[in-house]
Amino acid sequence: MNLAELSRFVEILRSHNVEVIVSTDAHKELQNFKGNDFVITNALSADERTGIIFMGGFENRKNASLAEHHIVVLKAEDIRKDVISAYNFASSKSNCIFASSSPSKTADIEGKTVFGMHGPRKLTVILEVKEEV
Amino acid sequence: MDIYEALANKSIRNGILRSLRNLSPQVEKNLQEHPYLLEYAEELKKAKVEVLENLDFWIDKASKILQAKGVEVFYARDASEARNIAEKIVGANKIVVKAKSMVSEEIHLREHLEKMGNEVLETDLGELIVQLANDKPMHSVIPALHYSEEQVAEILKKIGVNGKNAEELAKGVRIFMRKKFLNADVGISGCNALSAETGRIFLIENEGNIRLSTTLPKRYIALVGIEKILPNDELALKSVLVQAAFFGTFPPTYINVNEKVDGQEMYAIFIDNGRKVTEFREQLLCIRCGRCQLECPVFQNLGNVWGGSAYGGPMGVVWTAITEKRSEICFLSTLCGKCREVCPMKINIPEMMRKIRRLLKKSFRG
Repeated sequence: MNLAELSRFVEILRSHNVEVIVSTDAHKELQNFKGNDFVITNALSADERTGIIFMGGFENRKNASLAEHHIVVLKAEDIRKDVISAYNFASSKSNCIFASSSPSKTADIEGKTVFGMHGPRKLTVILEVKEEV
Repeated sequence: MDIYEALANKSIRNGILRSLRNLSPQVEKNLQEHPYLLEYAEELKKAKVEVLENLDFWIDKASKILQAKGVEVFYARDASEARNIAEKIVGANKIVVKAKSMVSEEIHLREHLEKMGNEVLETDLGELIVQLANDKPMHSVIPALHYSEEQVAEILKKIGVNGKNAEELAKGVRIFMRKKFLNADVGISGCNALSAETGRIFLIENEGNIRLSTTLPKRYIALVGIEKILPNDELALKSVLVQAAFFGTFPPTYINVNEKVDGQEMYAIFIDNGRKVTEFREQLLCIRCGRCQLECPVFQNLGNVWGGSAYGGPMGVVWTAITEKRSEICFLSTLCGKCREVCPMKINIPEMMRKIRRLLKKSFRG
């Protein structure tokens, strides 16, 4: 993935109201989160074109569904060119696949968008890259 | 509500037109930015046609893979059988959290389980509003589009939720429903697509209620319309993505790929209810995006009041002919063809409307 593609991917996530942190050291970034209202999940893959992020495992799904703030660590090398490749890549590594692309939301009252309906109110993606960008 | 009351009820028309204004440009944008979705739709249609031509084979294949994974599988020939199966699995005096599912509306499952002494909660915000108002969904994806913020505020007082605006009301429902999710005995969902390759059930949503309903309870029931079976995961994924794009919210906030896991009982109820023997097989290609409803000039005035007990609008008239009976409501169609034009599967609904009319006229003549 080149720099332009990476930038485009970050912009897509941000347009979905996702907080994105690009870093060469995800572990270090995680130290900045204090408190106990967040859940961290390691992503299995993501689709470059839609920003859909695939994760796996039943316990991970349960914890992610209950979190107020969901933090996902995604390695740039796990981003795939299309959604099917991303799903297949995730599926080869885990069962119980689930995907998120934004914080939980609803527009069921007069079409007005409200975030944090039943799932996480906030979604942060720490995008781990190999070199400083 | 009858059609004359619906015509006089401006909130139905206003709600539908607001949804159309919000979503229609989004559909165009989705297809412009992701043109491959049109290829997915074509591929999906081809696969669905093939599955429908060999439905018994695919039901058998999907059943076997589900059973091999430890899922208890049932086949319901009609709505009554489906309700009885679900009743036996659920039992009585349970807390049941339900994801929005049109097939559950079709078999009137919530009302049945409530009669058995269960507390059954619709967990999708719009569907909860409809449940509390003792109403039926006005649209298959946006069930409460006909209620104003003020009306919703009044309705939600029934569960102790108070608020002045959508944000406050949603927050109150989140707190109310979270307790229910954590204490639920049974979770029920529909199925947007089922992979016969892996037995995985694909469900899309934006709120997170499906994820909670199908993950937290120890017992999970998936209601599967038999037309939702697809040969493999790839097609199932394409199906839910096309569904989301043609509804107007793409990508969906959540994709859930549910399967049997340790520590959770899982049941799948295949629902036939007229599908296998129908004269309107083409309608079984429908992926329930709800696009034809919003775009239809008749639906824009009547909403789901123009329909049967569950399904409304152009697709709903045909679905009603499949799952309930052929009804005179088909004569309200203008046959303008907009439904076919906007359908991702290009289902020829006007032709089926004509066929329902012909069959009805024949029966009138005796």
